[in-house]
Amino acid sequence: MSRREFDDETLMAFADGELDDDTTATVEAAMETDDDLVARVAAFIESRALAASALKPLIDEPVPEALTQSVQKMIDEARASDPSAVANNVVTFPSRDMRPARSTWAMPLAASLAAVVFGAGGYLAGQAGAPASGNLAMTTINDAEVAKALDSTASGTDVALGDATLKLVSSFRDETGTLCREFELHRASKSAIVSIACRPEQDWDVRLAVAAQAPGGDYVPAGATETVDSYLTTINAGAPLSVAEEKKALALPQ
Amino acid sequence: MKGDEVQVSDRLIAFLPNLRRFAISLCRSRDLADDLVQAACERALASQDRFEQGTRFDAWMFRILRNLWIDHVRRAKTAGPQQDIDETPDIAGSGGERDAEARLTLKSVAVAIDELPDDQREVLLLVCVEDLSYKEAAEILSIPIGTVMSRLSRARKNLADAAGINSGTDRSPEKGGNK
Repeated sequence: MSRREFDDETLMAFADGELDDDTTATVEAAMETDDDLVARVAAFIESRALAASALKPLIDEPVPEALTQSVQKMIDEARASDPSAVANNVVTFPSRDMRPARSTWAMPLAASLAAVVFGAGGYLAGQAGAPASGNLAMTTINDAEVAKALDSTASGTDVALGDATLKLVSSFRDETGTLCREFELHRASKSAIVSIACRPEQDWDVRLAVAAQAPGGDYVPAGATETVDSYLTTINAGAPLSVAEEKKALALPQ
Repeated sequence: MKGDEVQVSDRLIAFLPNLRRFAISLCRSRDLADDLVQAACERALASQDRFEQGTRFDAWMFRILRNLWIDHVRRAKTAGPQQDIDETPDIAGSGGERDAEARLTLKSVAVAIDELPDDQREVLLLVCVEDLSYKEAAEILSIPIGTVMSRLSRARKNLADAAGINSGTDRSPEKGGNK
């Protein structure tokens, strides 16, 4: 028996182009004198073609509209909560580039935002002597110094407010075109606050305020900034304004 | 650079027809397949951080979908081969231009594919329909390449038998071994 035997798997791999060069050459050589071998290889080529022709047309079947819509909805939702999507829209200022790489974060964080806004709004309003209104939705900044800083100070600048430091992070417009600013309030013995305030007309309204965990620290933990990023996505925040754009935008409409 | 990366969410919609084809042939029911595709997309979006840039997106999605299918089968033990037998002839599609004889052959191939054991059918789908390599199929299925090859060769011999393909003298001990 001079003929070499090949098992089915070898011949199938040959038919599929998955054999190594040496074995391929051996099979080819054997096929020259062995019609039976040729038939076996042909059967594997044909069975592949059969399976393909039976099932490949399925790809032309229209995807049900309901399925496409449902998946599109999931994609939209995922984008809305994906901090990296924000990174594509909002070019961050240098101070924000120092943040650790963003990671996925827990959604419950977003659920707690309303309570945080209330607490910080109370702080900001209370600083000017006015009692916290208890209004969850929005709090106007009554503190003249904070409002003045928001009105006039360029992003990337720090402003000293008594024992606190106000860091202006960026200016941008929300989806309605309203001017908004992101800023951080660092206080000596209390936790820092990261906040977004918008100026629909003359006054600054606090839209978001998140208490960071490190009292007196000079940096804001990633968790807080991720919350801010998430919020920026939900209001379709535009890219940060350039220095010139910001200067122009800050000038109060007279 | 984040900007160079292609996000999972950008690719899902375009990939839906492929995903659905795989799902239909895997679970042999369009309703079930659509549920499965939806669940796979949900899973993919939730874990898109785990998708490694530069690796094959299709293989990653197939793996997610297939794992969900296995979970489903495990949970509903009756959801296996008995399911939706009535629907199986549909898998051959309805190409109006094909002549009756060709349609008959395709139909019988579709039925033959349908009647394959699950482990043979899924490897057949990945290699012969989705054109993945043995290695990629092995990774999706979490089995050795040798197992991919033995299942695939048995699947194709079963298919060839069903379609009446003459495969010469059979030297395989498992001729017709539909198990």
